[in-house]
Amino acid sequence: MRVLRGLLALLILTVLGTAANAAEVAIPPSPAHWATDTAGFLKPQTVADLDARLRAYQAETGHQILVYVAPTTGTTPTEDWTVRAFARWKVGRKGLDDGLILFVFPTDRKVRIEVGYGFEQTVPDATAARIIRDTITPKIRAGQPDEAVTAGVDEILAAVGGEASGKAGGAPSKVDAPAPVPRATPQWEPYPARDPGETFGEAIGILIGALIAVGIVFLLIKLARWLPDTGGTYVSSHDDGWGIAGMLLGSVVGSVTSGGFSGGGGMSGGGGATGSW
Amino acid sequence: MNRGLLVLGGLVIVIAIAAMGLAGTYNRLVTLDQAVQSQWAQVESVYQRRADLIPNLVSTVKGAANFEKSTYVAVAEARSKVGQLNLGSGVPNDPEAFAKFSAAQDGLSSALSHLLAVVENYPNLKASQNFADLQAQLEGTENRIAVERMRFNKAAQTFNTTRDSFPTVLVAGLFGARFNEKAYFKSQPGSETAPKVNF
Repeated sequence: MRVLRGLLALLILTVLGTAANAAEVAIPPSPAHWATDTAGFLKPQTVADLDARLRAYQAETGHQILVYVAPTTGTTPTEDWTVRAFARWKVGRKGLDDGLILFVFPTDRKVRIEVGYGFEQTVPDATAARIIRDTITPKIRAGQPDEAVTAGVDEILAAVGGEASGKAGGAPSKVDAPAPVPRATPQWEPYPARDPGETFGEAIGILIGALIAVGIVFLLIKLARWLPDTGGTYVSSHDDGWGIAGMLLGSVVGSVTSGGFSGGGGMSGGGGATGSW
Repeated sequence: MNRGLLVLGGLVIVIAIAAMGLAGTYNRLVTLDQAVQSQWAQVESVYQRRADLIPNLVSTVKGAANFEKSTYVAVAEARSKVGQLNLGSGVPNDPEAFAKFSAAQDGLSSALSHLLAVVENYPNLKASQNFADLQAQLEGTENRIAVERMRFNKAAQTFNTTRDSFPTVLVAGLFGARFNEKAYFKSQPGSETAPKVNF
């Protein structure tokens, strides 16, 4: 038991240690929503409204447009962070690259519009810069973050076109979204094409990974059952171990079936604009 | 007689296996080479995009009263050097051509950043809508250049790693310059905090 506890402590220390070292803010996994605020910058109602609106927008037009608010990009330059986040989240459809993300980093006092390859003609840099310079940052400076981001999204959707129920008044304009222009140049592939041998090796890797994961779950079950009986004091509830397994499974299944945002395979190449306040 | 046939058969099998291995390695190099070439096309297109902005930029700053002539002349000259580059295809395979390309583009970069620094002394120009739009386009393009260069380096690195590993390096050698090592972009002067590639 002592050995096990020692190991656990070591594991926790290692995890904490790496977290503390991260002055560089890692790119988080793809958000599950169209609008995300991890900085508490916007009112929850604003986030919910934007999320519903952008979700409906995707259903209507196929374009993926996100709002993402996080405190800071750490030591990484804003543009570097956002292009990597775009690549990781794969916003927009594959081949069309019709994605766009409005980023706000309150601690850094930075706003960025990151434009997918397919929207570079629809939302040129000068347009993105104007939206930031004339609409978003003045409102933030005036202490109206919710209005700033909402108005920013209004203008972005107006530029891209095709929103069914024009929120900023006006008759509902039926889908007149211009088809995104696919790049004339060959697609950049994040990973070079693999040969079958590599894929096979990867399959084996995944299998081994899955086996290890199952092993860990069983170990957790064992631990949870074991500790109370052997006089462990830090597990007070007598849940049977399946509680933990259920939780783990639930979170995995939940993230797959909840119908949240998931990237369509789009890419960006650093187009867009950055502003600060 | 049987023995002769056996040896012959064995030889055929060995040669067949060797040929298959060779073909597989060759195809893999071709695939990786294609990835580098298509990324090179992206790099060229973002640099072209920047060059296309220059005439408009020069005529805009010319219009501002008493704008320091030497700065925009330097930009125009650097741009024409870029325009005179006639390196053809295969630049990534040719370290000399690659160095020329880089040097010309870096020359334009530094002339441009000097000009943009000088603009700070002309508040009227800086505040004009026309210049603000141009500046946004220039910044966006510089950012695109940084991104595509980084991706090019990544693709080149993938190619080189495969090319130089054993036994691929033997196969690559058979084809001469076709599978030369790819050149890399070095971090631009003034941008020592080169973005870390982590796709």
